[in-house]
Amino acid sequence: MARKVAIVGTGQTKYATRRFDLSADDMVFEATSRALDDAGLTIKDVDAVVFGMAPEALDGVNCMDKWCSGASAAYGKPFMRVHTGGATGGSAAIAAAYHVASGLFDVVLVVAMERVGETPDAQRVLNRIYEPTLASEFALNIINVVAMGTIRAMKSHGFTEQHMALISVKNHLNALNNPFAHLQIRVTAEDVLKSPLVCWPFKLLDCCPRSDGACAVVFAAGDKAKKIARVPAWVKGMAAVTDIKVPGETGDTGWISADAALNAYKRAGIDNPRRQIQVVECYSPFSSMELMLYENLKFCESSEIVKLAEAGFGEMNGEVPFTPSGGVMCSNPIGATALIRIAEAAIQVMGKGEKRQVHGVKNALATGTGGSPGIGSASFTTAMVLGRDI
Amino acid sequence: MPEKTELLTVPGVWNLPYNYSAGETISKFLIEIRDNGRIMGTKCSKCNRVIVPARSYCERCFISIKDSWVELPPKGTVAAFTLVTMKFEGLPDPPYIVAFIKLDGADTTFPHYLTGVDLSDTSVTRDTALLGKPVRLVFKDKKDRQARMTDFRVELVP
Repeated sequence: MARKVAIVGTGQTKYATRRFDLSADDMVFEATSRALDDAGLTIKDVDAVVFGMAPEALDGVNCMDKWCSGASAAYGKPFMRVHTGGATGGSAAIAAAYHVASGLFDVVLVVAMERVGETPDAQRVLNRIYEPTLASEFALNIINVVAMGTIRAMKSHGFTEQHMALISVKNHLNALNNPFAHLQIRVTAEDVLKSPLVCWPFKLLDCCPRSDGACAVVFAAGDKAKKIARVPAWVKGMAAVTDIKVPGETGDTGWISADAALNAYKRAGIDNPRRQIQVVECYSPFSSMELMLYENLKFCESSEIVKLAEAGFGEMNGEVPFTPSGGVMCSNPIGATALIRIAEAAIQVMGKGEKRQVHGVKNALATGTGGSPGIGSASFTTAMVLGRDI
Repeated sequence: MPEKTELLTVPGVWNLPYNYSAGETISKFLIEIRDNGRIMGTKCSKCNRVIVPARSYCERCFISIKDSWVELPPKGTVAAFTLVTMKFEGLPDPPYIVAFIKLDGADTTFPHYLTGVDLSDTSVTRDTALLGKPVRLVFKDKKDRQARMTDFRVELVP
Protein backbone atom coordinates (compact mmCIF):
# COMPACT_ATOMS: atom_id res chain seq x y z
CA MET A 1 0.00 0.00 0.00
CA ALA A 2 1.21 3.49 -0.85
CA ARG A 3 1.04 4.98 2.65
CA LYS A 4 0.17 3.39 5.99
CA VAL A 5 -3.44 3.95 7.09
CA ALA A 6 -5.23 3.29 10.40
CA ILE A 7 -8.67 3.65 11.93
CA VAL A 8 -8.55 6.12 14.83
CA GLY A 9 -12.22 6.45 15.75
CA THR A 10 -15.67 4.95 15.26
CA GLY A 11 -19.22 6.13 15.94
CA GLN A 12 -22.60 4.43 15.74
CA THR A 13 -26.22 5.21 16.41
CA LYS A 14 -28.44 2.77 18.25
CA TYR A 15 -30.12 0.70 15.52
CA ALA A 16 -33.90 0.16 15.53
CA THR A 17 -36.78 -0.56 13.15
CA ARG A 18 -37.69 3.12 13.33
CA ARG A 19 -35.70 5.98 14.83
CA PHE A 20 -38.63 8.39 15.04
CA ASP A 21 -36.48 10.65 17.23
CA LEU A 22 -33.92 11.37 14.50
CA SER A 23 -34.30 12.83 11.00
CA ALA A 24 -32.01 11.30 8.35
CA ASP A 25 -29.38 13.99 8.78
CA ASP A 26 -29.72 13.86 12.62
CA MET A 27 -28.80 10.19 12.37
CA VAL A 28 -25.70 10.94 10.28
CA PHE A 29 -24.75 13.80 12.63
CA GLU A 30 -24.99 11.48 15.63
CA ALA A 31 -22.73 8.79 14.11
CA THR A 32 -20.28 11.34 12.68
CA SER A 33 -19.90 13.34 15.88
CA ARG A 34 -19.50 10.15 17.94
CA ALA A 35 -16.67 9.02 15.60
CA LEU A 36 -14.95 12.41 15.87
CA ASP A 37 -15.37 12.36 19.69
CA ASP A 38 -13.97 8.83 19.83
CA ALA A 39 -10.88 10.02 17.90
CA GLY A 40 -10.66 13.28 19.86
CA LEU A 41 -10.96 15.28 16.61
CA THR A 42 -13.18 18.10 15.35
CA ILE A 43 -14.57 18.99 11.92
CA LYS A 44 -11.41 21.10 11.37
CA ASP A 45 -9.27 17.95 11.35
CA VAL A 46 -11.24 16.25 8.55
CA ASP A 47 -9.71 16.60 5.06
CA ALA A 48 -12.36 14.74 3.02
CA VAL A 49 -15.59 12.78 3.46
CA VAL A 50 -16.94 9.60 1.83
CA PHE A 51 -20.67 8.90 2.20
CA GLY A 52 -22.39 5.54 1.78
CA MET A 53 -26.04 4.74 1.14
CA ALA A 54 -27.68 1.85 -0.75
CA PRO A 55 -30.81 1.89 -3.04
CA GLU A 56 -32.61 5.19 -2.59
CA ALA A 57 -36.11 3.72 -2.77
CA LEU A 58 -35.44 2.07 0.62
CA ASP A 59 -35.35 5.54 2.14
CA GLY A 60 -37.69 7.15 -0.40
CA VAL A 61 -35.43 10.14 -1.01
CA ASN A 62 -33.25 10.66 -4.07
CA CYS A 63 -29.66 11.74 -3.45
CA MET A 64 -29.82 11.48 0.33
CA ASP A 65 -26.12 12.47 0.19
CA LYS A 66 -27.19 16.10 -0.41
CA TRP A 67 -29.46 16.11 2.62
CA CYS A 68 -26.83 14.48 4.82
CA SER A 69 -23.62 16.16 3.59
CA GLY A 70 -23.73 18.88 6.25
CA ALA A 71 -24.22 16.26 8.96
CA SER A 72 -21.24 14.32 7.54
CA ALA A 73 -18.73 17.08 8.46
CA ALA A 74 -18.34 17.80 4.72
CA TYR A 75 -18.83 21.60 4.87
CA GLY A 76 -16.17 23.10 2.60
CA LYS A 77 -14.49 19.74 1.92
CA PRO A 78 -14.31 17.16 -0.90
CA PHE A 79 -17.29 14.76 -0.70
CA MET A 80 -18.31 11.67 -2.66
CA ARG A 81 -20.98 9.02 -2.41
CA VAL A 82 -20.22 5.31 -2.89
CA HIS A 83 -22.87 2.65 -3.52
CA THR A 84 -22.41 -1.12 -3.98
CA GLY A 85 -25.64 -2.36 -2.36
CA GLY A 86 -25.03 -4.28 0.86
CA ALA A 87 -21.27 -3.85 0.37
CA THR A 88 -21.66 -0.04 0.32
CA GLY A 89 -20.08 0.46 3.74
CA GLY A 90 -17.11 -1.75 2.81
CA SER A 91 -16.56 -0.02 -0.53
CA ALA A 92 -16.95 3.44 1.02
CA ALA A 93 -14.41 2.59 3.75
CA ILE A 94 -11.95 1.30 1.14
CA ALA A 95 -12.43 4.53 -0.84
CA ALA A 96 -11.70 6.56 2.33
CA ALA A 97 -8.59 4.47 3.07
CA TYR A 98 -7.42 4.93 -0.56
CA HIS A 99 -7.77 8.71 -0.08
CA VAL A 100 -5.36 8.55 2.85
CA ALA A 101 -3.02 6.00 1.24
CA SER A 102 -2.69 8.25 -1.81
CA GLY A 103 -0.90 10.87 0.27
CA LEU A 104 -3.34 13.60 -0.74
CA PHE A 105 -5.38 13.54 2.51
CA ASP A 106 -4.31 12.88 6.12
CA VAL A 107 -7.67 12.40 7.85
CA VAL A 108 -10.72 11.09 5.97
CA LEU A 109 -14.11 10.37 7.50
CA VAL A 110 -16.49 7.78 6.08
CA VAL A 111 -20.12 7.74 7.17
CA ALA A 112 -22.88 5.45 5.90
CA MET A 113 -26.58 5.31 6.69
CA GLU A 114 -29.92 3.78 5.78
CA ARG A 115 -33.53 4.06 6.87
CA VAL A 116 -34.96 0.68 5.94
CA GLY A 117 -37.99 1.17 8.18
CA GLU A 118 -39.49 4.11 6.27
CA THR A 119 -41.17 1.84 3.69
CA PRO A 120 -43.31 -1.10 4.88
CA ASP A 121 -41.59 -3.89 2.87
CA ALA A 122 -37.93 -3.53 1.90
CA GLN A 123 -38.11 -6.65 -0.31
CA ARG A 124 -40.50 -4.82 -2.63
CA VAL A 125 -37.71 -2.30 -3.22
CA LEU A 126 -35.07 -5.02 -3.48
CA ASN A 127 -37.13 -6.80 -6.17
CA ARG A 128 -36.35 -3.74 -8.30
CA ILE A 129 -32.59 -4.31 -8.23
CA TYR A 130 -33.05 -7.05 -10.86
CA GLU A 131 -32.93 -6.58 -14.63
CA PRO A 132 -36.32 -5.17 -15.69
CA THR A 133 -36.94 -6.80 -19.10
CA LEU A 134 -36.14 -10.45 -18.26
CA ALA A 135 -35.83 -11.03 -14.54
CA SER A 136 -37.60 -8.80 -12.03
CA GLU A 137 -41.12 -10.05 -12.82
CA PHE A 138 -40.32 -13.43 -11.26
CA ALA A 139 -40.64 -12.22 -7.67
CA LEU A 140 -36.91 -12.27 -7.03
CA ASN A 141 -35.68 -10.56 -3.90
CA ILE A 142 -32.65 -10.87 -1.66
CA ILE A 143 -34.24 -13.38 0.72
CA ASN A 144 -35.30 -15.89 -1.92
CA VAL A 145 -32.11 -15.61 -3.97
CA VAL A 146 -29.97 -16.24 -0.88
CA ALA A 147 -32.33 -19.11 0.04
CA MET A 148 -31.62 -20.64 -3.38
CA GLY A 149 -27.86 -20.51 -2.78
CA THR A 150 -28.39 -21.96 0.69
CA ILE A 151 -30.35 -24.95 -0.64
CA ARG A 152 -27.48 -25.73 -3.03
CA ALA A 153 -24.98 -25.42 -0.16
CA MET A 154 -27.09 -27.72 2.06
CA LYS A 155 -26.95 -30.34 -0.69
CA SER A 156 -23.20 -30.01 -1.34
CA HIS A 157 -22.05 -29.51 2.27
CA GLY A 158 -24.59 -31.41 4.33
CA PHE A 159 -25.57 -28.72 6.82
CA THR A 160 -29.19 -28.53 7.94
CA GLU A 161 -31.75 -26.08 9.31
CA GLN A 162 -30.64 -27.19 12.81
CA HIS A 163 -27.06 -25.99 12.14
CA MET A 164 -28.41 -22.69 10.83
CA ALA A 165 -30.48 -22.31 14.03
CA LEU A 166 -27.30 -22.62 16.15
CA ILE A 167 -25.83 -19.61 14.33
CA SER A 168 -29.00 -17.58 14.90
CA VAL A 169 -29.00 -18.41 18.64
CA LYS A 170 -25.33 -17.38 18.92
CA ASN A 171 -25.81 -14.06 17.11
CA HIS A 172 -28.88 -13.09 19.14
CA LEU A 173 -26.98 -13.92 22.33
CA ASN A 174 -24.02 -11.76 21.23
CA ALA A 175 -26.30 -8.82 20.43
CA LEU A 176 -27.30 -8.66 24.11
CA ASN A 177 -23.72 -7.45 24.79
CA ASN A 178 -23.83 -4.72 22.12
CA PRO A 179 -25.56 -1.48 23.19
CA PHE A 180 -26.05 -0.47 19.52
CA ALA A 181 -27.70 -3.74 18.36
CA HIS A 182 -31.26 -3.54 17.03
CA LEU A 183 -32.63 -6.96 18.05
CA GLN A 184 -31.85 -7.69 21.67
CA ILE A 185 -33.76 -10.87 22.34
CA ARG A 186 -32.69 -14.26 23.66
CA VAL A 187 -33.82 -17.07 21.35
CA THR A 188 -33.47 -20.84 21.50
CA ALA A 189 -32.85 -23.21 18.58
CA GLU A 190 -36.45 -24.34 18.99
CA ASP A 191 -37.66 -20.72 18.70
CA VAL A 192 -35.72 -20.36 15.41
CA LEU A 193 -36.98 -23.65 13.96
CA LYS A 194 -40.59 -22.87 14.94
CA SER A 195 -40.60 -19.25 13.71
CA PRO A 196 -42.71 -18.63 10.56
CA LEU A 197 -41.31 -19.99 7.27
CA VAL A 198 -40.40 -17.13 4.89
CA CYS A 199 -39.04 -19.21 2.03
CA TRP A 200 -37.51 -22.60 2.59
CA PRO A 201 -35.09 -23.07 4.35
CA PHE A 202 -35.36 -19.60 5.97
CA LYS A 203 -37.56 -19.05 8.99
CA LEU A 204 -38.05 -15.51 10.28
CA LEU A 205 -35.30 -15.96 12.90
CA ASP A 206 -32.79 -17.03 10.24
CA CYS A 207 -33.18 -13.56 8.68
CA CYS A 208 -31.93 -10.08 9.58
CA PRO A 209 -34.32 -7.30 10.63
CA ARG A 210 -34.70 -4.05 8.66
CA SER A 211 -33.08 -1.24 10.58
CA ASP A 212 -32.60 2.52 10.71
CA GLY A 213 -29.14 3.70 11.63
CA ALA A 214 -25.77 5.22 10.72
CA CYS A 215 -22.12 4.41 11.34
CA ALA A 216 -18.95 6.50 10.89
CA VAL A 217 -15.24 5.67 10.89
CA VAL A 218 -12.21 8.00 10.85
CA PHE A 219 -9.12 6.95 8.87
CA ALA A 220 -5.75 8.69 9.39
CA ALA A 221 -2.28 8.49 7.86
CA GLY A 222 0.47 6.57 9.72
CA ASP A 223 2.33 9.16 11.80
CA LYS A 224 -0.81 11.12 12.50
CA ALA A 225 -2.73 7.99 13.53
CA LYS A 226 -0.15 7.24 16.24
CA LYS A 227 -0.67 10.72 17.70
CA ILE A 228 -4.48 10.61 17.49
CA ALA A 229 -5.19 7.14 18.93
CA ARG A 230 -3.64 5.27 21.84
CA VAL A 231 -4.16 2.02 19.89
CA PRO A 232 -4.92 2.64 16.20
CA ALA A 233 -6.44 -0.22 14.18
CA TRP A 234 -4.02 -0.53 11.27
CA VAL A 235 -5.31 -1.43 7.82
CA LYS A 236 -3.10 -4.41 6.99
CA GLY A 237 -4.95 -5.51 3.88
CA MET A 238 -8.07 -4.56 1.98
CA ALA A 239 -9.64 -5.71 -1.27
CA ALA A 240 -12.85 -5.66 -3.30
CA VAL A 241 -14.09 -7.97 -6.04
CA THR A 242 -16.98 -7.83 -8.51
CA ASP A 243 -18.48 -11.27 -9.10
CA ILE A 244 -20.81 -11.56 -12.10
CA LYS A 245 -22.78 -14.77 -12.36
CA VAL A 246 -26.22 -16.32 -12.57
CA PRO A 247 -27.14 -18.98 -9.96
CA GLY A 248 -26.30 -22.45 -11.28
CA GLU A 249 -24.36 -21.32 -14.34
CA THR A 250 -21.47 -23.48 -15.56
CA GLY A 251 -18.74 -23.51 -12.92
CA ASP A 252 -20.84 -21.80 -10.21
CA THR A 253 -20.58 -23.53 -6.85
CA GLY A 254 -23.33 -21.45 -5.25
CA TRP A 255 -20.68 -19.83 -3.05
CA ILE A 256 -20.00 -16.10 -2.78
CA SER A 257 -16.63 -15.16 -4.31
CA ALA A 258 -13.80 -15.55 -1.77
CA ASP A 259 -11.39 -13.43 -3.78
CA ALA A 260 -11.80 -10.21 -1.77
CA ALA A 261 -10.83 -11.96 1.48
CA LEU A 262 -8.02 -13.93 -0.18
CA ASN A 263 -6.56 -10.76 -1.73
CA ALA A 264 -6.81 -8.93 1.61
CA TYR A 265 -5.08 -11.87 3.37
CA LYS A 266 -2.25 -11.78 0.84
CA ARG A 267 -1.67 -8.08 1.39
CA ALA A 268 -1.84 -8.55 5.18
CA GLY A 269 0.59 -11.49 5.16
CA ILE A 270 -2.05 -13.91 6.42
CA ASP A 271 -1.59 -17.47 5.23
CA ASN A 272 -3.48 -19.28 8.00
CA PRO A 273 -6.52 -17.19 8.96
CA ARG A 274 -7.67 -19.69 11.60
CA ARG A 275 -4.42 -19.11 13.55
CA GLN A 276 -3.71 -15.49 12.63
CA ILE A 277 -7.18 -13.88 12.91
CA GLN A 278 -8.75 -13.76 16.38
CA VAL A 279 -12.16 -12.28 15.55
CA VAL A 280 -14.36 -11.95 12.45
CA GLU A 281 -17.12 -9.43 11.76
CA CYS A 282 -18.59 -11.03 8.65
CA TYR A 283 -21.45 -9.81 6.50
CA SER A 284 -24.05 -12.52 7.01
CA PRO A 285 -27.67 -11.28 7.10
CA PHE A 286 -28.87 -14.90 7.00
CA SER A 287 -27.80 -17.70 9.34
CA SER A 288 -26.66 -19.96 6.49
CA MET A 289 -24.25 -17.33 5.14
CA GLU A 290 -22.07 -17.49 8.25
CA LEU A 291 -21.76 -21.28 7.89
CA MET A 292 -20.80 -20.84 4.23
CA LEU A 293 -18.25 -18.18 5.21
CA TYR A 294 -16.40 -20.58 7.55
CA GLU A 295 -15.17 -22.30 4.41
CA ASN A 296 -15.29 -19.27 2.13
CA LEU A 297 -12.99 -17.24 4.38
CA LYS A 298 -10.69 -20.29 4.68
CA PHE A 299 -11.30 -21.06 8.35
CA CYS A 300 -11.97 -24.70 7.40
CA GLU A 301 -12.26 -27.22 4.60
CA SER A 302 -15.67 -27.73 3.02
CA SER A 303 -16.11 -31.07 4.81
CA GLU A 304 -15.74 -29.41 8.24
CA ILE A 305 -18.61 -26.89 8.22
CA VAL A 306 -21.00 -29.17 10.11
CA LYS A 307 -18.33 -30.11 12.66
CA LEU A 308 -17.46 -26.44 13.29
CA ALA A 309 -21.12 -25.46 13.68
CA GLU A 310 -21.73 -28.25 16.19
CA ALA A 311 -18.56 -27.35 18.14
CA GLY A 312 -19.61 -23.69 18.51
CA PHE A 313 -16.57 -22.55 16.50
CA GLY A 314 -17.80 -18.94 16.13
CA GLU A 315 -19.25 -18.47 19.65
CA MET A 316 -17.79 -15.87 22.04
CA ASN A 317 -15.84 -18.60 23.84
CA GLY A 318 -15.33 -20.66 20.66
CA GLU A 319 -12.12 -21.00 18.70
CA VAL A 320 -12.61 -17.83 16.59
CA PRO A 321 -15.55 -15.62 17.58
CA PHE A 322 -17.68 -14.53 14.61
CA THR A 323 -19.75 -11.31 14.97
CA PRO A 324 -19.44 -10.53 18.72
CA SER A 325 -21.69 -7.53 17.90
CA GLY A 326 -24.59 -9.82 16.99
CA GLY A 327 -23.81 -9.08 13.36
CA VAL A 328 -26.08 -8.31 10.46
CA MET A 329 -28.67 -10.81 11.75
CA CYS A 330 -29.38 -8.40 14.62
CA SER A 331 -28.92 -4.96 12.91
CA ASN A 332 -29.17 -4.20 9.20
CA PRO A 333 -29.30 -0.55 8.11
CA ILE A 334 -28.27 -1.74 4.64
CA GLY A 335 -25.94 1.04 3.37
CA ALA A 336 -24.20 1.24 6.77
CA THR A 337 -24.05 -2.48 7.52
CA ALA A 338 -20.68 -3.33 5.93
CA LEU A 339 -19.15 -0.24 7.57
CA ILE A 340 -20.46 -1.45 10.95
CA ARG A 341 -18.46 -4.65 10.36
CA ILE A 342 -15.31 -2.53 9.92
CA ALA A 343 -16.13 -0.31 12.92
CA GLU A 344 -16.74 -3.38 15.11
CA ALA A 345 -13.50 -5.03 13.89
CA ALA A 346 -11.65 -1.79 14.72
CA ILE A 347 -13.31 -1.69 18.16
CA GLN A 348 -11.99 -5.22 18.81
CA VAL A 349 -8.44 -4.28 17.76
CA MET A 350 -8.53 -1.06 19.79
CA GLY A 351 -9.81 -2.95 22.86
CA LYS A 352 -12.95 -0.84 23.18
CA GLY A 353 -15.48 -3.68 22.94
CA GLU A 354 -16.51 -3.66 26.62
CA LYS A 355 -18.95 -6.56 27.14
CA ARG A 356 -18.42 -7.85 23.59
CA GLN A 357 -14.60 -7.58 23.66
CA VAL A 358 -12.67 -10.67 22.54
CA HIS A 359 -9.42 -11.05 24.48
CA GLY A 360 -6.03 -11.03 22.79
CA VAL A 361 -7.10 -9.64 19.39
CA LYS A 362 -4.08 -9.04 17.16
CA ASN A 363 -5.91 -9.22 13.84
CA ALA A 364 -9.59 -8.79 12.99
CA LEU A 365 -11.38 -9.40 9.70
CA ALA A 366 -14.39 -7.42 8.40
CA THR A 367 -16.26 -8.40 5.24
CA GLY A 368 -19.00 -6.92 3.09
CA THR A 369 -21.35 -8.43 0.53
CA GLY A 370 -23.72 -6.59 -1.77
CA GLY A 371 -25.77 -7.00 -4.91
CA SER A 372 -27.08 -10.41 -5.90
CA PRO A 373 -26.35 -13.12 -8.42
CA GLY A 374 -28.78 -12.99 -11.34
CA ILE A 375 -29.27 -11.85 -14.93
CA GLY A 376 -27.99 -8.30 -15.38
CA SER A 377 -26.74 -8.33 -11.81
CA ALA A 378 -23.52 -8.64 -9.83
CA SER A 379 -22.30 -9.43 -6.34
CA PHE A 380 -19.80 -7.10 -4.73
CA THR A 381 -17.58 -8.32 -1.92
CA THR A 382 -15.15 -6.39 0.26
CA ALA A 383 -12.69 -7.45 2.95
CA MET A 384 -10.48 -5.53 5.36
CA VAL A 385 -7.91 -6.98 7.77
CA LEU A 386 -7.23 -4.68 10.73
CA GLY A 387 -4.37 -5.27 13.17
CA ARG A 388 -2.74 -3.96 16.33
CA ASP A 389 0.68 -3.88 14.68
CA ILE A 390 1.54 -2.84 11.18
CA MET B 1 -41.16 24.10 24.86
CA PRO B 2 -42.58 20.83 26.27
CA GLU B 3 -39.98 18.38 27.57
CA LYS B 4 -41.36 15.36 25.74
CA THR B 5 -41.87 16.00 22.00
CA GLU B 6 -44.49 14.29 19.92
CA LEU B 7 -42.49 12.63 17.09
CA LEU B 8 -44.02 13.24 13.65
CA THR B 9 -43.81 11.45 10.31
CA VAL B 10 -44.77 12.96 6.95
CA PRO B 11 -46.32 10.53 4.40
CA GLY B 12 -44.94 10.07 0.86
CA VAL B 13 -45.48 7.76 -2.13
CA TRP B 14 -43.24 6.84 -5.06
CA ASN B 15 -45.32 5.69 -8.00
CA LEU B 16 -43.28 6.28 -11.13
CA PRO B 17 -44.08 4.65 -14.49
CA TYR B 18 -41.18 3.59 -16.73
CA ASN B 19 -40.67 2.00 -20.16
CA TYR B 20 -37.47 -0.02 -20.04
CA SER B 21 -35.51 -0.21 -23.31
CA ALA B 22 -34.62 -3.83 -24.05
CA GLY B 23 -32.11 -3.00 -26.80
CA GLU B 24 -31.59 -4.83 -30.09
CA THR B 25 -30.32 -8.16 -28.72
CA ILE B 26 -32.96 -8.72 -26.04
CA SER B 27 -35.66 -7.44 -28.42
CA LYS B 28 -34.64 -10.11 -30.96
CA PHE B 29 -34.56 -12.74 -28.19
CA LEU B 30 -38.08 -11.85 -26.99
CA ILE B 31 -39.50 -11.58 -30.53
CA GLU B 32 -38.20 -15.12 -31.31
CA ILE B 33 -40.18 -16.32 -28.30
CA ARG B 34 -43.30 -14.47 -29.43
CA ASP B 35 -43.22 -15.27 -33.16
CA ASN B 36 -41.52 -18.66 -33.34
CA GLY B 37 -41.75 -20.13 -29.83
CA ARG B 38 -37.97 -20.50 -29.84
CA ILE B 39 -35.33 -19.74 -27.19
CA MET B 40 -32.21 -18.21 -28.69
CA GLY B 41 -28.89 -17.55 -27.01
CA THR B 42 -25.62 -15.97 -28.04
CA LYS B 43 -22.32 -17.84 -28.04
CA CYS B 44 -18.96 -16.29 -27.21
CA SER B 45 -16.47 -17.12 -29.98
CA LYS B 46 -13.59 -16.93 -27.51
CA CYS B 47 -14.71 -18.84 -24.37
CA ASN B 48 -17.53 -20.79 -26.12
CA ARG B 49 -20.04 -20.01 -23.36
CA VAL B 50 -23.65 -20.06 -24.51
CA ILE B 51 -25.52 -17.21 -22.85
CA VAL B 52 -29.31 -17.45 -22.45
CA PRO B 53 -31.23 -15.14 -22.51
CA ALA B 54 -29.09 -13.70 -25.29
CA ARG B 55 -26.65 -10.93 -24.41
CA SER B 56 -24.76 -8.71 -26.87
CA TYR B 57 -21.36 -9.09 -25.20
CA CYS B 58 -19.27 -11.52 -23.15
CA GLU B 59 -18.35 -9.82 -19.90
CA ARG B 60 -15.28 -12.05 -19.39
CA CYS B 61 -13.65 -12.01 -22.85
CA PHE B 62 -15.05 -8.51 -23.34
CA ILE B 63 -15.99 -8.89 -26.98
CA SER B 64 -19.23 -8.32 -28.85
CA ILE B 65 -21.14 -11.55 -29.50
CA LYS B 66 -24.33 -9.99 -30.82
CA ASP B 67 -24.23 -11.79 -34.17
CA SER B 68 -23.52 -15.35 -33.00
CA TRP B 69 -27.00 -16.75 -32.34
CA VAL B 70 -27.67 -20.34 -31.29
CA GLU B 71 -31.02 -22.09 -30.73
CA LEU B 72 -31.63 -23.91 -27.44
CA PRO B 73 -34.02 -26.83 -26.88
CA PRO B 74 -37.14 -26.11 -24.76
CA LYS B 75 -35.87 -28.34 -21.96
CA GLY B 76 -33.33 -28.20 -19.17
CA THR B 77 -32.88 -28.65 -15.42
CA VAL B 78 -33.56 -26.90 -12.09
CA ALA B 79 -30.31 -25.07 -11.24
CA ALA B 80 -31.64 -23.40 -8.07
CA PHE B 81 -35.04 -22.99 -6.39
CA THR B 82 -36.89 -21.99 -3.25
CA LEU B 83 -40.46 -22.35 -2.03
CA VAL B 84 -41.80 -18.93 -0.99
CA THR B 85 -44.40 -19.14 1.79
CA MET B 86 -44.60 -15.55 3.09
CA LYS B 87 -46.39 -12.64 1.44
CA PHE B 88 -44.14 -9.79 0.24
CA GLU B 89 -45.86 -6.52 -0.63
CA GLY B 90 -46.24 -6.06 -4.39
CA LEU B 91 -45.17 -9.66 -5.08
CA PRO B 92 -47.50 -12.63 -5.77
CA ASP B 93 -49.54 -14.41 -3.11
CA PRO B 94 -47.67 -17.44 -1.73
CA PRO B 95 -47.03 -20.31 -2.00
CA TYR B 96 -44.97 -20.43 -5.19
CA ILE B 97 -41.57 -21.73 -6.30
CA VAL B 98 -39.04 -19.38 -7.88
CA ALA B 99 -36.20 -21.10 -9.67
CA PHE B 100 -33.21 -20.55 -11.92
CA ILE B 101 -33.40 -22.80 -14.99
CA LYS B 102 -30.48 -24.08 -17.05
CA LEU B 103 -31.48 -25.11 -20.56
CA ASP B 104 -29.64 -28.08 -22.08
CA GLY B 105 -26.63 -26.69 -23.92
CA ALA B 106 -26.66 -23.34 -22.11
CA ASP B 107 -23.93 -22.16 -19.72
CA THR B 108 -26.09 -19.58 -17.94
CA THR B 109 -29.48 -19.71 -16.23
CA PHE B 110 -32.60 -17.56 -15.99
CA PRO B 111 -35.26 -17.03 -13.31
CA HIS B 112 -38.84 -18.29 -13.68
CA TYR B 113 -41.65 -19.79 -11.62
CA LEU B 114 -41.47 -23.58 -11.41
CA THR B 115 -44.82 -25.27 -12.10
CA GLY B 116 -45.95 -28.87 -12.03
CA VAL B 117 -44.95 -29.37 -8.38
CA ASP B 118 -47.43 -30.31 -5.64
CA LEU B 119 -46.74 -27.36 -3.31
CA SER B 120 -48.40 -29.09 -0.37
CA ASP B 121 -45.88 -31.96 -0.56
CA THR B 122 -43.23 -30.73 1.87
CA SER B 123 -41.04 -33.79 1.19
CA VAL B 124 -40.47 -32.25 -2.27
CA THR B 125 -40.67 -28.52 -1.62
CA ARG B 126 -38.62 -28.55 1.60
CA ASP B 127 -35.81 -30.77 0.41
CA THR B 128 -32.78 -30.34 -1.83
CA ALA B 129 -33.84 -33.18 -4.17
CA LEU B 130 -35.50 -30.84 -6.71
CA LEU B 131 -32.04 -29.59 -7.71
CA GLY B 132 -31.00 -30.96 -11.10
CA LYS B 133 -34.47 -32.34 -11.90
CA PRO B 134 -35.55 -32.07 -15.58
CA VAL B 135 -37.97 -29.36 -16.74
CA ARG B 136 -39.62 -28.42 -20.03
CA LEU B 137 -40.84 -25.10 -21.38
CA VAL B 138 -44.53 -24.93 -22.29
CA PHE B 139 -45.34 -22.00 -24.62
CA LYS B 140 -48.65 -20.15 -24.63
CA ASP B 141 -50.77 -20.13 -27.79
CA LYS B 142 -49.20 -17.83 -30.35
CA LYS B 143 -52.07 -15.32 -30.14
CA ASP B 144 -51.52 -14.88 -26.39
CA ARG B 145 -47.77 -14.26 -26.54
CA GLN B 146 -46.51 -10.74 -25.77
CA ALA B 147 -42.75 -11.03 -26.33
CA ARG B 148 -42.10 -11.56 -22.62
CA MET B 149 -40.46 -14.27 -20.54
CA THR B 150 -43.99 -15.06 -19.33
CA ASP B 151 -44.91 -16.28 -22.86
CA PHE B 152 -43.90 -19.70 -21.57
CA ARG B 153 -44.01 -21.51 -18.28
CA VAL B 154 -41.46 -23.91 -16.84
CA GLU B 155 -42.87 -27.29 -15.85
CA LEU B 156 -41.25 -30.08 -13.88
CA VAL B 157 -41.05 -33.25 -16.00
CA PRO B 158 -42.88 -35.90 -13.93
